Amino acid sequence: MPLWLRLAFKECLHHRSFSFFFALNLALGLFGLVAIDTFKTAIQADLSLRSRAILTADLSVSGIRPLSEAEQQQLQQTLQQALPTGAQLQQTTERTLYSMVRSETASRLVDLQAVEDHFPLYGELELQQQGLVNGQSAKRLNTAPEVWVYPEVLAQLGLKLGDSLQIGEQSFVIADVVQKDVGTSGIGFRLAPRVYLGQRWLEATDLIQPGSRLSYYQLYRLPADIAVASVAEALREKMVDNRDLRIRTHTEASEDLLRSLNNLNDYLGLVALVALFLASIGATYLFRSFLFQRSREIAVLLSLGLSPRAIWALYLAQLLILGTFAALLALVFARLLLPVLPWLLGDFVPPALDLRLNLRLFALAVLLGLGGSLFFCLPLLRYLNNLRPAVLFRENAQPTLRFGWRGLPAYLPALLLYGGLAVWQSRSWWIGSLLTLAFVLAGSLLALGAYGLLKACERLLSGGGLALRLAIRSLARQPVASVSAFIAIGLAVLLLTLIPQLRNGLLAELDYTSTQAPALFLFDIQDDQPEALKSFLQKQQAPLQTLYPMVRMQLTHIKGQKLSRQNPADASRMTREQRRQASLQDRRHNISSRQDLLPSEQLMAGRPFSGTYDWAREAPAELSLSQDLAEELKVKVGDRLDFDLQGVAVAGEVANLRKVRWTNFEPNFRILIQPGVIDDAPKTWIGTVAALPDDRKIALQQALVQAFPTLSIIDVSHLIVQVLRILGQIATILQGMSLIVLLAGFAVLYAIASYQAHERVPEVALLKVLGSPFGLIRRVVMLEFALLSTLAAGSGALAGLATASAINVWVFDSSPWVWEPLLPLGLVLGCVLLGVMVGLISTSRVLATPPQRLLGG
Amino acid sequence: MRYVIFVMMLCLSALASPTPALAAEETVILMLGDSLTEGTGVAPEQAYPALVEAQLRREGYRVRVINAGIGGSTTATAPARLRWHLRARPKPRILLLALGANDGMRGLPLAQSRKHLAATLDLARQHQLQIVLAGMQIPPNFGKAYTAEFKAMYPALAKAYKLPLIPFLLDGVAAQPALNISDGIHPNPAGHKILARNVLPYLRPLLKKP
Repeated sequence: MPLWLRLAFKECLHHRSFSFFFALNLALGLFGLVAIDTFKTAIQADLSLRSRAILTADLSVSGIRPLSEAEQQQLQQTLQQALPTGAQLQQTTERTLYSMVRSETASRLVDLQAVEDHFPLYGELELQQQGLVNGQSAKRLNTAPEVWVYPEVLAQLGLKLGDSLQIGEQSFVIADVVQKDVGTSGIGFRLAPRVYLGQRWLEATDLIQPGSRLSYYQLYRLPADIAVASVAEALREKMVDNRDLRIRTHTEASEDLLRSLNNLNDYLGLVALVALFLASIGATYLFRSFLFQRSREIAVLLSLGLSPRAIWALYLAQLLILGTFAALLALVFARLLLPVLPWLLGDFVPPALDLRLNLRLFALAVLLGLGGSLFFCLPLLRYLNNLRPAVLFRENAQPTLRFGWRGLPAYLPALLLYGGLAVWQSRSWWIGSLLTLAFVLAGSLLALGAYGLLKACERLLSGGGLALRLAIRSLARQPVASVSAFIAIGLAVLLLTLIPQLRNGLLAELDYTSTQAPALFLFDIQDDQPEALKSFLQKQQAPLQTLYPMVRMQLTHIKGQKLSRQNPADASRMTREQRRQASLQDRRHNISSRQDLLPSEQLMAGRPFSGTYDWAREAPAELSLSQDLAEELKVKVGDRLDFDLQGVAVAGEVANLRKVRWTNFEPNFRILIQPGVIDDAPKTWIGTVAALPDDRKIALQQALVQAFPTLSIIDVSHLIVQVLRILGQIATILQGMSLIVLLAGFAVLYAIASYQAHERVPEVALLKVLGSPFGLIRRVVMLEFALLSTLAAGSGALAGLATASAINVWVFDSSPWVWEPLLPLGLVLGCVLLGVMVGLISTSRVLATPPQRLLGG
Repeated sequence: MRYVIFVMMLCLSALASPTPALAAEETVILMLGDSLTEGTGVAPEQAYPALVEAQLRREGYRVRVINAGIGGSTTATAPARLRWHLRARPKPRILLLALGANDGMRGLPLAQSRKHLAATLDLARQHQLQIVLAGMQIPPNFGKAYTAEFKAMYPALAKAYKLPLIPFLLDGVAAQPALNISDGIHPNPAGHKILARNVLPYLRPLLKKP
């Protein structure tokens, strides 16, 4: 074994406390990343399973006509080409249609789902008799004329299990009742309740005739390791001429909300990076402190003839050993702690959570352990070149490493490593680069702040007592050390303030949504129905939560300019982005009217409505526009918009712009018109009913349909439950991460304080030799540390709060913010206490050491 | 008082509407309908009400067509919507009532739909409007009994009120993929041209050339 490697092992073993603390600190950051990666993967798997269950497949090809023979062949060929040889492809077909079904006494509209034996390819149904069913469960439906029905079908047609149901020309036996439909956490109320029947028996109903409206689905389950999106892309390319067929992957089919939750999940990794970043700063300081203390020994080794290259190799090897040790330690933590987490997180753990460590995580931890320690600590080794062994032979001199600003570019690889990790974690070049830039910007601002504050202190406090003056001079004399400690402490406190605030933001959003979110949306309430509906719902003990009028108006002129002719493209063939663009260009708007803003709205410009419209003034009616619409239409307060309200021209003027939080499921409108304008216009109303237990909700829907047949009801509670669950998971993970970040942060603070204390040793020794009283020396050290920690931690906390506010505005759409002033205050205080304590302990050691040893003996 | 001012305002606003020329001499045709009339999936100018207006003007009629179509609307909204338009000046002289398809597609009780349509026709009669009723049909998958009952509702109403009836508004367009947008329900621009051709013969007899 070469000498440098032997020495590297010796260094690790001889400085056990440094080695252990270095590895522990880095391991903490790595554990955060490993834990978050595991949870992210679990949530992603959960979301992906959900989206597959919604489509009941990986991929679907659908249309409102059956596929021709040629199309079938082309489809099969393309799929086979896209799959690896021998790969298994499971497929099934489905036909869906609306139809009126009859019992002996009544009839009603149902959503018929004609399925094959293999339905569903993903997900499962819960039936009253058979329990959970999947895979081959629909076989029975294809052998006998039997159906599975939603409970409403029984209630509304006065039927029970085993009775017969007439669908078209065929009579079916009700064999089971659906309690939980595939892809949902219950049975979502839709335009009509579902009835499942076998494909074979659909022909017997005689409902399929020329002109019948059916949807035809070809559903595919692909092998697990196949990228569904690329298969879909290949299909789209091959079937480009068959424009009336729709090719969708399970992610495209899942709701926008699930998609955005997946995006939110992507950002979780960024939080883990914060912990790793802090740990890396800590490791840098620890290593710097270590090298600083080893200056003399390194100089001795050099003077004894060890080549500078061998010294480099020695410390490089030491970093590699420690990095590997940190990675192994992180994996041991993960192995021990991850299985306990589901127990700690309770309900929020996804059912499919797989917490096993895998090779990928192992490689990730080792790579990042090595990368983190090398990229951050390697730049310090270049200072070894500055070490002059000759100084050893000078009297009263100590060879020491001096770190300066010129070494800064050497941290570029570390920055690139984090940039790369941020892009990888957020799966977005834009977000990853933005985060890296934000780090650099925060660091630069803190550096500027540090420099300015030190100068200001020098000027303002120069008239203070001796101890204060000495403390300030000591800080000012070593600007590189002071400013770099300031940046590190500032960044640590910034991140420590930010993460819990993010968690609070998410929890506040969660709390607001769970208390305010409606269960049912009621549409098509006629103008003469609101009073009757209100009293009906009062009697049912499910009062209306909100009730707003709604008129359809067509925008004809913007600022006096007639809108040009636009050809809306066929929406069903558009991508989501194209659909959004088309909807922006659509001149038809649903407009409501109310005087006051909702709690989820914020006035951004202009003034509130002046009151009820005064018909005598003949002035344009006041309008309130959502900020996003105003941006799209390029209008501001005071601009005129003209509408066609069912053939009648209505002039409006923008009175104010509102910021609307669209995320909380409250019904809202992009345009509001002053009260009094649409009172007599033909309008409908839209209302919401607050959350109810499932059984009451179904009963209420049935009663509503009976009493108000023209009413449309949408049950959004299942969607909200899903969203709340996943947001809850993310908030809980953030909570755990806050703890890890806090631990990593304090480890950093300790590392910095102890390094600063070591750097101060010669000064303290000098003061001691010069005969300064120990009390004064202690006061100087205390003030120096207190000043540095207060300024740095204070700046960091302020920057953290500012960043949290910015994130609140941009990410959480100004949700009701829960400030925790105690947290930043506590952090600053903790930081000061820790700094002063570490400083004093180190000083006490120095004070107890004979001056000769300190001054080069 | 407020009502008077409101009516005055409607009159003023009608004058200030995008087609103000010779408003007093124009015959206003009100087309009260759903998404088929509103023109879902096509530009307002490509929807059949605009095509009918353009064609009648080319033929020398002084008409103004109000597209009072609202996507997704059912017959329940019809009386209130008609009342709104009856307040405008010049008052509509002809009503094309093209509602009911959404009632059928949602499986609503047809007795209710019939009641709403009848109430609308009564109101139109009270105001001396000339009426054309547009017949609707729903696809066979809704079952023989319901589709038959639905289809029969329009001739029955036309007979009871002695009205000209367009037997089927979507005649020649329904179930023709080339004439509909990809949802298979709503006509594309070519489909709307046929709808305009289906409607025109029933309007011409009610109009006089100046």
